[in-house]
Amino acid sequence: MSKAAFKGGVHPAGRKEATSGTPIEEMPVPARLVVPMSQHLGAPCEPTVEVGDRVVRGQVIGATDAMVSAPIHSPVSGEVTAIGPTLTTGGTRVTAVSVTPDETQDLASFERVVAEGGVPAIVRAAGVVGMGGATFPSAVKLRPPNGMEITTLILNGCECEPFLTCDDRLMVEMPERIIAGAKIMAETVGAQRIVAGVEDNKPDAIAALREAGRSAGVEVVGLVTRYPQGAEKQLIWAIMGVEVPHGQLPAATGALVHNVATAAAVADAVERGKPLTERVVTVTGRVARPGNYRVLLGTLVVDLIDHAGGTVGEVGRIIAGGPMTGQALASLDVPVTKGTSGIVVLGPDEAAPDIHDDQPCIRCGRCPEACPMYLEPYAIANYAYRREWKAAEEFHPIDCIECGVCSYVCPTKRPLLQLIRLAKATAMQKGAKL
Amino acid sequence: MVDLTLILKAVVALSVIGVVTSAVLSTAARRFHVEVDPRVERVLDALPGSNCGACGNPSCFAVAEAIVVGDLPANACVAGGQAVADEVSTIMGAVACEVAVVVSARQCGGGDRAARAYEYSGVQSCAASARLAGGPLVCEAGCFGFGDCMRACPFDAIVMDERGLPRIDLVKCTGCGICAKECPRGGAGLLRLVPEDAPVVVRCNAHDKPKDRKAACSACCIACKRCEKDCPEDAIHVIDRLAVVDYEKCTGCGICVEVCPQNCIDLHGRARGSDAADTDGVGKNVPGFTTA
Repeated sequence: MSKAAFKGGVHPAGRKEATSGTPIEEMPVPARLVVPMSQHLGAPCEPTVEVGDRVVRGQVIGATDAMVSAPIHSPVSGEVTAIGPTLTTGGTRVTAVSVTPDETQDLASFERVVAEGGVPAIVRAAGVVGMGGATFPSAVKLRPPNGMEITTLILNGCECEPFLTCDDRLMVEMPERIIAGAKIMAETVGAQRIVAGVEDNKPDAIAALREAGRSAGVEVVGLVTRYPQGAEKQLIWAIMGVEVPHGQLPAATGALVHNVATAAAVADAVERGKPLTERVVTVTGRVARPGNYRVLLGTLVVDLIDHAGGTVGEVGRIIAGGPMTGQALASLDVPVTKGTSGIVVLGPDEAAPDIHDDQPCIRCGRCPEACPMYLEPYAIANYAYRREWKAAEEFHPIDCIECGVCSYVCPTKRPLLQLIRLAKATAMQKGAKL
Repeated sequence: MVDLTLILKAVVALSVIGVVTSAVLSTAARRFHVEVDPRVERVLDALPGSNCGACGNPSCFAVAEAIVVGDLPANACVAGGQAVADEVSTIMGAVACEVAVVVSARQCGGGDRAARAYEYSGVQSCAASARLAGGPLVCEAGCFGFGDCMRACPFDAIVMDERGLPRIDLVKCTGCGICAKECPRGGAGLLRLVPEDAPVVVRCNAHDKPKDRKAACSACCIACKRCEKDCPEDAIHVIDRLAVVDYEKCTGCGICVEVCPQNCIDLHGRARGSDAADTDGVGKNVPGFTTA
């Protein structure tokens, strides 16, 4: 059963066949780990260890008191060898704690999370964040603002980005963990209904979730395969038939959306006291052994690609995340973090052509047609290009979800999203709120 | 046949309307009269009128009004400099006030000599590229060269040259500082306001280890302290691994320019009567260079 999806969107080639049938494989402990102190949206953590300290797996190595944040735990037992800045996959520089792992590691044991104050406190202490890529601290979402009633918990298993299959494999291999996490979260916020939204190009995942969720009364909805079906607001529209009002939280519609991997991490945290120290990463494209690897957070991308057999043939760009929203990496010495869903190695012919802003907008109208947020990307971008920030703001760049559909459809290959991001950043500097 | 009464009626009717309306208007004009200070107009004429916004006000008109009511001093116009301040003082009948005239100086000589961290393709804008891994340069302080400052300058005082660096025309530059605000690295000192008669400028603003810096750019200050040792006025010091000029003390003798092994100190300023274009990026290789 496929449901009507949202307005707009595109159909990029899926390219998931290389890894969708590959079971999740544990990556061995690498020789070095660089664990950034900011792997989430919100306030960065301060290191709580010093160079030379011994750490054990699961020990807190970064923490902060800020509301919107998540602590960082050591993924291995070992020694802290350095604390200093590192480049992240997102292109920012943050403080990181380098840990050299001991030679023998027992990945089954870990320091258990202790927290008082119910499920949200445990989820916070375990450092769980949105693992679909946005990395918003999950505990914050589990404490909805006063007066907002959550009726429906939506599990996001869309994975609409081309190439990525990590959520797909997780749904196929451990659906009971996902359902367990969903039940915990639904109970916490008082949601009566649990719905899982999965794009209909993943029939195995839909079947597995249905099977696992039958006794718990979880509805599993097959959704039209169209990018960006997995964007929070588009998913709410597809499942609930309501729009998130401008300037309001998704909670205003009574929906709480969590990624399937986040749900599994919540189940691990609450039931087993396990902090978030690893995640599944899809490594695909031009590598010798494409696959879905369970990777310790802080593993360098270069080590991960080596483990996947190294690159094959000529390489154009290496992208962290999916090709639509992910960023091309400037260096491979960047660590995998809580939001790294994939490493996609593209050849020179596959990577997006060099985009320069010298091509004019021909007013064909494809970008507003494709924009799932009812925006006019060409208008925002044109004003941003001319640095007319005030005029650009009239077209609501802050409502942009940065899905990249506009740049994808533009026939003159204008860097629309990059320009809109500039306009959005400028508007937010002036105090505009998402 | 023309019916004359028709014309008569029209004339009478219009006259009556005219008289009534003019009575209303003249009463209204007297009752709601707003006193406009004629000096606002004159001050506005004296201001540059480009609405550059460098003073922090929305327009030159707003500044003129604020000056006349006394909310802003006569030297409120940043871009106008001494000439405008004098004229405004005269109009306002105020005591002439001194204006510290500044100009913008680029503290980077990298350009095509700076190593790239990655290939950048995308919006040709410094602000846009700065959001990707901190910008396309290895150097953490250098100029990206996409010309955001050039596009932001309200006075057309900046052009990007063949090295990919902004060249600041000191005759046109008013020291409004907009370029430094627009530059993603301006706050850190890539573009800095210096006194109008600053005789020299150091074309580097990096503070990292000189070894790292040299690997990132062949044009940088290497913190060798030659300038500091040789300066007869004690006006240049290596502070936090970077040569910094104390313009209070600098006399413009040019010795630092001569001894700099990196050729990274340039003669500068209106003081020498030279256009900055002649000295920009060449250090001591200026035709006819002598130390005073």
